[in-house]
Amino acid sequence: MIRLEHVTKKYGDVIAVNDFSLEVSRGEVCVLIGPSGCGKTTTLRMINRLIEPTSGRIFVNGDDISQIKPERLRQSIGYAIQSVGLFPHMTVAANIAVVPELLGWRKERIARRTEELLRLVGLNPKEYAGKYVSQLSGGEAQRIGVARALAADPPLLLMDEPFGAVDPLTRQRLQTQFVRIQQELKKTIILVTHDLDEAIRMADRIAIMQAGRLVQYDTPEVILSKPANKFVLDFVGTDRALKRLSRIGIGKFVKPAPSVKADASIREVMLAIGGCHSVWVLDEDDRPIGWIDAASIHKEATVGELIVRGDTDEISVVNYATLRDALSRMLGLGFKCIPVVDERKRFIGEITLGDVEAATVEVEENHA
Amino acid sequence: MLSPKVRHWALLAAFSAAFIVLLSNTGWWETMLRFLFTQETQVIYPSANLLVLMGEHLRLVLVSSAFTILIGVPLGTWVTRRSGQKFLPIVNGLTSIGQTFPPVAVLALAVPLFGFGLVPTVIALFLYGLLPVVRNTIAGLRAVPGDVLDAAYGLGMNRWQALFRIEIPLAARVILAGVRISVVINVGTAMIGAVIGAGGLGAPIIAGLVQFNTAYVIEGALPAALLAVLLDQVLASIEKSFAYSASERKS
Amino acid sequence: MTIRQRFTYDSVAITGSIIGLLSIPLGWLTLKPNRLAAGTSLTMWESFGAEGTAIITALWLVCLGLSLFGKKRWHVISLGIVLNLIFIITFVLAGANASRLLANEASFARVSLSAGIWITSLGAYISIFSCRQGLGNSLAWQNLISWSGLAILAILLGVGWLNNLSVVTEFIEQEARFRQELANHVVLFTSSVVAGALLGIPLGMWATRSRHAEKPIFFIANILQTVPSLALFGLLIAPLSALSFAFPALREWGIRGIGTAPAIIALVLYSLLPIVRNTYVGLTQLDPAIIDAGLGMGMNRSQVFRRIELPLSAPLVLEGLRTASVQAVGNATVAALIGAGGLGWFIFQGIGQAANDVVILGALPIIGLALVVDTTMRLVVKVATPKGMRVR
Repeated sequence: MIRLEHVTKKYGDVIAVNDFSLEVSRGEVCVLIGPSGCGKTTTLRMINRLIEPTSGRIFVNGDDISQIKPERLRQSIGYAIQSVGLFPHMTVAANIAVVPELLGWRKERIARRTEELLRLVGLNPKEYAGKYVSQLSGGEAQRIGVARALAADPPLLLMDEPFGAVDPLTRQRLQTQFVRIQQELKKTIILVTHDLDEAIRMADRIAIMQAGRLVQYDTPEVILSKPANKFVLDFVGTDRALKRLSRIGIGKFVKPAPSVKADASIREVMLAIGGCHSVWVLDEDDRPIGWIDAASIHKEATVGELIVRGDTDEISVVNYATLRDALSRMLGLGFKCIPVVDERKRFIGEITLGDVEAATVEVEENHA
Repeated sequence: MLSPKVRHWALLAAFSAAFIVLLSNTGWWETMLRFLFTQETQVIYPSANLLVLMGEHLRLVLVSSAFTILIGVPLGTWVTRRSGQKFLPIVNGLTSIGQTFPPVAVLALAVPLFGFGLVPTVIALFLYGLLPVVRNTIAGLRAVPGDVLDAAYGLGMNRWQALFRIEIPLAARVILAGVRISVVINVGTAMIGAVIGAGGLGAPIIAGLVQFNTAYVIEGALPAALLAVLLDQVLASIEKSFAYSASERKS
Repeated sequence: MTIRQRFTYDSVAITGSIIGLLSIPLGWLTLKPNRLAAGTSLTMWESFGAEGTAIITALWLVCLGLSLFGKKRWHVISLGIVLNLIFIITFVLAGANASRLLANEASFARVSLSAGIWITSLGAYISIFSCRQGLGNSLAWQNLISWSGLAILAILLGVGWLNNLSVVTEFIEQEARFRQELANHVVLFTSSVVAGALLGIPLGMWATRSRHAEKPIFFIANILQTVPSLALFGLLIAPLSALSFAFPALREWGIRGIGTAPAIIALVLYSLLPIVRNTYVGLTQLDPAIIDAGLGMGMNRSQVFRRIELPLSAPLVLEGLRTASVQAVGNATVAALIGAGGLGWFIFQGIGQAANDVVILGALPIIGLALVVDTTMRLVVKVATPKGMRVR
């Protein structure tokens, strides 16, 4: 769907992009990655003609983009950048509506689409549509940036470090959410990042760049197991097996586990625990809010005293997360198992460290 | 109860109305001035009543300000575009030097060139008023964050759309501040215009100084001071309603 | 290659050159039978003769050529030199030809500079400005090109070459008065800024300490700034003359209704806002962590003030003084209307007598004075800015 043929960009004597050729198929996520100054952002911005190549051609859907008016080209390509660039004098809804308005959509269609998109990125339309930029947190702003890029339903999306400006925890969540959105929408995406973990998590194929040149272009599994040269080897680092864990969803490793409601009685707790070490405690909406250690139970205790409380978001992991997410969570908390929840944060089951180990072994065996 | 914003505007409207009523009531002025200046025989400036004078004054200020905005804002905008980039340093240089010139000097220099009366005054007011408007237009447009502009172009706006939908709305407040400065200075300079025959509220003051009649002076000075302050407050309120920049919007 | 690629041009210099060329058909000198009459405008040919016209026209064409072709260093330098030559030659010829033209006229006759010379100077200024840009990295050449023309003009004035130009003639006739009014003007604005500082800096400091004081202080200062200068002078006349009637002793001191007293009081009030505001901002923009660090290191309050707050807020406070000073030079001009003297006296005299040269005699030095004050204060601010904080 996108084809770059021998694209070069020179600034005077400096060669920013050197004879770059690449092909991305429809529905594929291609991640451009490399050290600072390797030309990945320049390449990205040549695709929507914010920068013009010195030589070479770029084709989108078979059409040479230099023959299309830049504004029309960009209206048909979604664009999301690291600093988001939301328009501070417009509400969230107005921001999202920009491209549809440029394209001349009718008001009702725009309103419906805005609502749809806000839901898609996990924000309540009633709450957020009328907000202004200064009232948003970093993560919310980035999500709205993505929603704005998707507004006119472009088949192609260009993203430059779209999750860069937030803290690592929020970033992980945004990445996971985005992978799910992509599974639903199946857009063609070219994404620039300097974060290898992000690339591995999100890419169908990764293009590694160095000093303006394309060094290796392949699936993450292949890049991790068969790096093309020393540069790539150094770039991906040594814990490649661990990195591969971020390609595997926890879905099939989730096992049912005992749980009780917070207002349960001691008897119900002891019944639920059975022979296990511990039981998860849920609130009225079935969200995990802590656990009870079997060892700490004694007859005079009240359930309230026994519960070791924890924040739902911190202790649990969502069911479409990757093994890598689960592992980091477990290591961070010092637990050997953590609860798994669905999109609405309701308890589904648990996943254990043992499962992760088993998966790592399986991966090594398959790709050794 | 009314919100603070509505109350603020209502107050301004009330003051403006009171101001106009005050000016038209020559009898009241006469009484007050006679009370203050018992030794003068004539206390009211004979050539025109206050309302007419204020009308003349406002006309001077508004006409010159209209030209200033019509020429200054596009000039400031052009100089921040790619086509006018080369002229940015000189425009900046001319406006900074121009601001050190006393406005009276500009008015004075207009006389050898254009003679006396309305024309040189309006020209001098227009030229001098250009400076803050151009400067603020440039500053406001340059203050638009680069990534916001990048997003605008990236989404598919052409240069005109980006200018009118994004850059100017974001720069509006700063530009308006420049207009306000320009108008306030012009009210002051227009007063001196009375010396070269342009009329306005400076006329009674000059007449009073020449004839040593302090009542005339007050008759001109007080309304002029009130007019300036009122205009300043009205423009400041309009400016505040443009709270678009992210740092100013309160949740 | 397209035309664009062939000529590497400098649009600003081209604009200046075109302005210069456009000035040639205008009138360059005006011959008047006396200082009040309108006079006849003389073309460049009539003013400077054939050789003069040829030289200046040729030089401007050279400038146009250099601006169209040159981005190389020696192009820019030669352009700058040629521009200065135009400026100098213009005034040399003006002075010489003024004498020539007046030789056959009565002693009341006057020769004044006309549009052509002003427009040529404007064109030269614009192009020299662009040359400065082009020579950004060499301070020596920059200064040479910017100032040599003006320096030579000053020398010409000094040796009396330009004495037959009407402005200079007026100056010579009224030299004593000029010196006196210049002195008045300087006294007016310096004393008001000093008094404004003595009043305003403490007010600004008070505003930072007390929330209650902050609002009224700024409100009053803002209102004062908005009031037109003539109106403020006017409003002060009445109470001051009433006071001087009631207390004759004040009149001994020279405090009357009109004159210097209301002028200085008004000027002081005008200088308040910039000084108070900049003092306030200067003190509040300090990162409280810095003061905290100072106290934590064991400094007492006055040491923190002297060694941290003062040097860090000084540049801003001095900027406020700069704004106030330049403003005061301008406002002092109007003071002439209420009898306080100053260079404004010439402006209003000239307007009253319809004598344009007298007006210029007042206006140009005021502009010059404002520029000098501005440049001096900028230097003061620069010197006072701690080394580590200077913007490169």
